[in-house]
Amino acid sequence: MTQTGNPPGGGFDQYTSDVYGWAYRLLGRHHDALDVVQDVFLRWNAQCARQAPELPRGWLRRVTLNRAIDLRRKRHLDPMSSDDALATAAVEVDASLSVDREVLRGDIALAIDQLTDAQRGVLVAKVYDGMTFAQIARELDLGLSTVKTHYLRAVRSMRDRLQGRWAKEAL
Amino acid sequence: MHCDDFEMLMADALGDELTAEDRPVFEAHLVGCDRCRCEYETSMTALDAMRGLSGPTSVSMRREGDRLVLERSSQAHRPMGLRLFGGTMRYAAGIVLAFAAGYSVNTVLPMLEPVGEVSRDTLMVDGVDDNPSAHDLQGALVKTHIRKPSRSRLATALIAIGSARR
Repeated sequence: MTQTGNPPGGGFDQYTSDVYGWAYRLLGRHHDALDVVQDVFLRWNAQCARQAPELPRGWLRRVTLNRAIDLRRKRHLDPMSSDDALATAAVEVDASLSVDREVLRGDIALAIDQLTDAQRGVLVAKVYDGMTFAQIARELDLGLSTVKTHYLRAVRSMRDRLQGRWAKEAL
Repeated sequence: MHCDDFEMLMADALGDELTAEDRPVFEAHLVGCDRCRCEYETSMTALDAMRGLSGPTSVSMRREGDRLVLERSSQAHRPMGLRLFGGTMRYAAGIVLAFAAGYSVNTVLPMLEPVGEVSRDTLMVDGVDDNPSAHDLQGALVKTHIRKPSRSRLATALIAIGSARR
């Protein structure tokens, strides 16, 4: 362990962009994502003061996703109201597409919320971080077939929850 | 192949990790099984929707004590050297423009004013008319010399030009 209490894998600094990215994808708002990063940073320091995580990136991903989902619930961001979406889209070039994108983001965040911790971690690592199953298995200390099973179940769950959205659009 | 045995291949296909060896087996099962084909297509649609969400812009981070300060930067991807060079060039351009503007105001404008007849004897850099007039070239040059001694060389040159024309 280093003098600052960081694990051998490195300090928080090297994961800041990842933490921000995970939070942003669920929240879609820069300042909300910053709030999550600050929160996770404080929790990281507290955790490292007790015992540094052996798998820091996996730990950070799990905590970040949980905090982002909590923040969404707390700020009543589900479902995103038209006013909220328009406010977010105010700086976008194409407001109509931005509103739709933000509503989709809300639907995806809701669906991710329904997953288990393991399914959520594997899905985000695969889809947004571009990791292979083998890399995810090493990072989360799981078996390869277990990772694939979690991934398959997560994708099925997402599909089932998003299909309702597409059904509404088709009507 | 039974659908239950197909699970791992489905996960590989959805994760874009299907090997060249497994691909023909996977595609053959899809052709013959409507349920698995439907599952694959709808799952891919859901994944495409997730991947379609835009990611964040680059952020730069600095620490202030126990606080993290993150800033979005549209130029974060530019190399530091390039940014410094651009900033220096902008600064230099500003100085050049300011100098040119000041030069123009202090030299061109007086020359546009009506110029009286200039006497060679009075156009001496060191000799200063007691009552310099702003309404002739001599007066303007003297005033310039008095106000800004550093420009007396310019005044000297202009005086010489005026003298030569005489």
